[in-house]
Amino acid sequence: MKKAEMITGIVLLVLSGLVIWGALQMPPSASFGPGAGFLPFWLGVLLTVLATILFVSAWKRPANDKEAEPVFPGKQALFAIASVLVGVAVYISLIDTLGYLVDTFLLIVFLMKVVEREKWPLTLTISVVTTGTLYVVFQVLLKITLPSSTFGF
Amino acid sequence: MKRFGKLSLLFAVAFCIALGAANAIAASKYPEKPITVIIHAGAGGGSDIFARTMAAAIEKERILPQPLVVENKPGGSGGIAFAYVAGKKKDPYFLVTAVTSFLTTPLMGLTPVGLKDFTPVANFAFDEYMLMVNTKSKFKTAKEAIDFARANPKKVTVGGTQLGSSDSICTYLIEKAAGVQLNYVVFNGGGEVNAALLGGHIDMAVANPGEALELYKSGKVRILGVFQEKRLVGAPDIPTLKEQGINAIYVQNRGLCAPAGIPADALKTLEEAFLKYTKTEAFKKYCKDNMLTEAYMDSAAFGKFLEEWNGKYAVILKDMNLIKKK
Amino acid sequence: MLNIFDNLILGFQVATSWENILFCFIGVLIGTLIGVLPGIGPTTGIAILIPITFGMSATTAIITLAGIYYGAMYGGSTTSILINLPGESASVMTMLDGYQMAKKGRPGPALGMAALASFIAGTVAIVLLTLIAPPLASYAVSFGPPEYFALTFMGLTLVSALGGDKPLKAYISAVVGLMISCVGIDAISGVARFTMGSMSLLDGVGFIGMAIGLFAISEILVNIEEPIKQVFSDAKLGIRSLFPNLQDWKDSFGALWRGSLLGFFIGTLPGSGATLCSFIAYAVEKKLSAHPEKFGTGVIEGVAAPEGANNAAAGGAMVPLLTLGIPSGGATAVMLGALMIHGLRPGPMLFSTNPEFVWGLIASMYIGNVFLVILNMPLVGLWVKLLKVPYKVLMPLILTISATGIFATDNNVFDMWVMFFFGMVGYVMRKLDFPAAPMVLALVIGRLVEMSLRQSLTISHGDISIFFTRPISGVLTVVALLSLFSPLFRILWSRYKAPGKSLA
Repeated sequence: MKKAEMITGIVLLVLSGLVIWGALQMPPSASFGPGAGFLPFWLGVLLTVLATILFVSAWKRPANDKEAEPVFPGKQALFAIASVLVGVAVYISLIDTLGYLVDTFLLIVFLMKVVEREKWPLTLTISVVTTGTLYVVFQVLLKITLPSSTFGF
Repeated sequence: MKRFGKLSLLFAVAFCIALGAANAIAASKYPEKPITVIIHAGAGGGSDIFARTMAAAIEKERILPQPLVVENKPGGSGGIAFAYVAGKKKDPYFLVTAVTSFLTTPLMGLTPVGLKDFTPVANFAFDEYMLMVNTKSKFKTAKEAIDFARANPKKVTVGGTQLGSSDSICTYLIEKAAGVQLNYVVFNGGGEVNAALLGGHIDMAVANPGEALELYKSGKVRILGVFQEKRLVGAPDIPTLKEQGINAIYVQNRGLCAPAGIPADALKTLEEAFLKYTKTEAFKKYCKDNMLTEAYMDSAAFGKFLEEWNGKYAVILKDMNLIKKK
Repeated sequence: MLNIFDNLILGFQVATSWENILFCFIGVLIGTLIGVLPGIGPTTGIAILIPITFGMSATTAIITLAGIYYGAMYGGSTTSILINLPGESASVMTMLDGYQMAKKGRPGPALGMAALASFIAGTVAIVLLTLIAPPLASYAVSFGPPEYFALTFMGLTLVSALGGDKPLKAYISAVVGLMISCVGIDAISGVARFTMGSMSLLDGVGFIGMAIGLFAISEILVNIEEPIKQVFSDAKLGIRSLFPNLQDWKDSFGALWRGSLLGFFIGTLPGSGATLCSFIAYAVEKKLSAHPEKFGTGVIEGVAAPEGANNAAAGGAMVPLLTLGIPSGGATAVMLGALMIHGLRPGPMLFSTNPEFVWGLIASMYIGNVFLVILNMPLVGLWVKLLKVPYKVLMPLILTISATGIFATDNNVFDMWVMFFFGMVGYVMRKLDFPAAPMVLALVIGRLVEMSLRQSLTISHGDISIFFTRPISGVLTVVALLSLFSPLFRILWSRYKAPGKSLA
C-alpha cells in the first residue's frame, strides 16, 4: 500500500499540474465574477496540496508486513480482468460495424467461453436468450434505435 | 469440412451481392424504408416536440409511404447530431432538425461540419422572441428599461441560456440597437430563467412565446416587446421593440436538413411531403399551440435564408467574442 | 380545507375511470421496468414513450407519464441493491448501503425497505402536494442563484461524510470529481474546457455512465479476480427474512420522515434534481446517527433515507410544473413537452382552468403508489432469487445490460466508452481504497455549485456579500462553512481538552 500510495500521489500531482496548466490557458472572465479557468485552477491547487499530503504520509509511514502486501492481485487474476476489458473494448469498437445483435452475441460468447470456460450448450443458450431479450426490450418495446450493421440488423 | 467452408464463403458473397442489388433498386423508388429524423437536442425541448408532432402527423395522414423515425442525439450544442447526419453523405434517409444552433455551432468551431455538408430540405416555422419582466418590476415599457440601462450601465440583469444561444443573441441585439450595456446572466435552461424572473432574482428575461405566454396571461410577467417587425397575430396587444425605438429584430427558424448531395428525386419527394404537411390541421394546431409563425420554405428558399443568416451570425458572434481567432 | 376535499373527490372521480386506472397501472409498470434497467432513467423513459400516449386524452396521457416517472424512481433501487448497478442516477445513494446489505445476506429487507420507503415517502409527498401546492409556488422561486449556491455548497461539504475512515482519500476523490465536472463547454463564457477536441465531451462527462463504470463494472472486475466464486454468501431466502423486521423499522423511522420532507422540499426547487435530494438525505442521516461509522457497511437507514427522498422529490417536482408551468428537471421538462403535444399548457392558471386535470393527476398518484407497492412487494422474493443465479451467468448479463442501457440514454456509443473508462478507474480506486461515491456526487453537485456561484457574482458585480446578506443563503452558507471546518474545530477542541496529544 505504501508504494502504491506514493505512486498515486505522483500521478495525482501530474494530473493537477495538467489541470492548472489547462486552466491558465482559458481566457479571463469577460463579465463579472470568476471566469472559465477559476474553478479548475483552484481545484488544481487543492489537489496538489492533497496529493502531497498523501505522498508524504505514505512515505513517512513505517514499512511493515501489512504495507508490503501487494495491492493488485496475481498474474492469473489480472489476466482474467484484462481479457474482460479487452473483450468489452472490442465490443464497443465494433458495435457500429457488426450491429447490435451480432456484436452482443459475440461478447457474451467470449465472456462465457473464453473467460469463464463454460460449456458450449450453456454458453450458446445464455448468449441467444440474453441478446434476444435485450433486443426485444430496447428495440421493440422501448423503440430505441440500437446500432445496426450495413445489412440492417 | 474444408469444402463446407468454401461453400459457405461462396454463399456469403452471393448474399452480399444480392443485398447490394436490393439497395440499388431501393434508391429508385424513394422512400423504400423508414426515414430517420435526428433531433439535435434532448427530449422534451422545442425541436423534439416539432419533430415528434410532424412524424405522428405524417404517419397518420399517410403523407409518405414510409414512417419517419425520430431519434434524439443531443450533445455538443447540436454538434453531435450535425456531424452524424453530415457523415451519412448522399443518404436521403437521414434528416436533422435545424434551428439557430445549426448555424451558430459550426461558426463557434464546436463541430467540424458546416452548412456546405448539408442539403437544406424545408423550413416550417419561425419562433418569435420576447423581452419580459416580472409584473412587480418598475419597468412598464421597453423604453423605460432601456433609459434606465443607459443611465446605469451593466446594472440591468437579463436572464437567458448558454452564450451563443438565441437568448444571448437577442440580448446582444438590444445592446447594439439601443447602445446600452446589460448584464447577461446564464442559466441552464428556459425553465430556470423563468423561475429566476418570477422570484425577482433577475430584472428581465428573453423568452419565446411558448414559455412566456401562460405566465403573461396569468399576470405574473409583463411582456415589454417582441423582436419583430410587426405585432404578433396571436397577441396583438403586445408592442414590438421596434415601435419603441429599439430596432432589434430576431426570429429562429425551424427546418430540416439532409446530408449534402442527396438524389434530386428524393429531395423533391421530401419537399412535396413537407409542403403537404404544412397544410394539415395538425401543423396549424402545432403552430398555434406553440405560438409559432408558419413559414414554409422549399429547399432553394431555405438555402438562401440559411446563407443570409449564416453571414449575420458570423458578424454577431464575432462581435460577442465567441468566434475564436485562428 | 373543505375545498381541498371537494377537489380531491373531483380528482378521484377522474382518476377512477376505467381507462385512467388501466393506464396508471401500465405507466407504473413501465416505470418500474425503466427504473430497473440501468442507465435509462425516467427522463429518457418518458421521452421515448410519449408516442404511446398519442390518441389518449391529455389527462390520461399525463397520468401514464407521471406513472412512468415515479415508477422509475421506485424501480431504480432494485439493481442498485442486488448487483451494485444504479438503475437511474438518483439511486446511487441507495446503493451504498443497499448493496452491502445484499452481500451480507439481507437483500430481502433492503429491497423491502426500499419499496416501502418509496411508498411512504411518495404518499407523504402527494399529501403535501394536495394540501399546499399553490402556496409552495412562491417558495419554489424564492431560491435565486445565491440560495442555490449556498445549498449546493453545503451539499459539497457533506461529500466528505461519504468517506468512511479515510477522509483524505475521500477529499481527493471529491476534488477529482469536481475537476471532471469542469469538463465540457462552459455555458457562461462559451469556452470548451478539457474536451481534448472531442465533440461528445462538450456536454461534459455523463453522470450515469461514470456511476455505472465506477460501481458496477469495477465490482465485476473485483469479482472475477478469483475463478468463479459465489459473491452472495448466505442469502437467507426464507419468507420471514424477505421483509424488514421490527428493529429495521425502528432504525428507519427517523430516516423515513426526514428523507420524505427533505426530498419533497428540495425537490420542489427547479434545477436541483432527485440525486441531490437523496444525497442530502443520506448525509443528514449520517450526521445525525448515533453510529455514523456504520454507514456504508449496510445499515437500513442508509437505504430508507435516500430511497424515501428520491421518491418524495418526484412529488416535489410536480409543484413548480403544475403551479407555474416550470419544469424542475429533465423528467418534468419532458412531461411539459408531452403536455404541449396534447395541446395543454401548464401555467399558473392550470389549477383554476383545468381542475379536473390537475386533481385527476394528483388523485392518480395516490392510486399509482398503491399499485407500485402491490406490484413490487411480491417481486422482492423473485429478485432475491436472482442472486442464486451463478455469478458466471450473471456477469455477462450485467455487462451487456449496462452497456445497452447506457447507450440508450443518448443513443451515443461514446457513453459506453465513458462507462468502460470509469470501470477501470473504479477498479484501481477500490484496490487503493479510494471511495467512489464522493467522486460521483462531486460531479453532479460541482456543476450546480460553479454555475450558481458565477451567476450570483454576475448579479452582484463580483461582491461576495450577496451570499451572507440574504436570509436563506446566509444561514445555509454559515452552516456550510461550519460543516467544512468542523473537522478542524474538533481537532482543536480535542487538543484543548487533552493537551499534549499530537495532531495525527
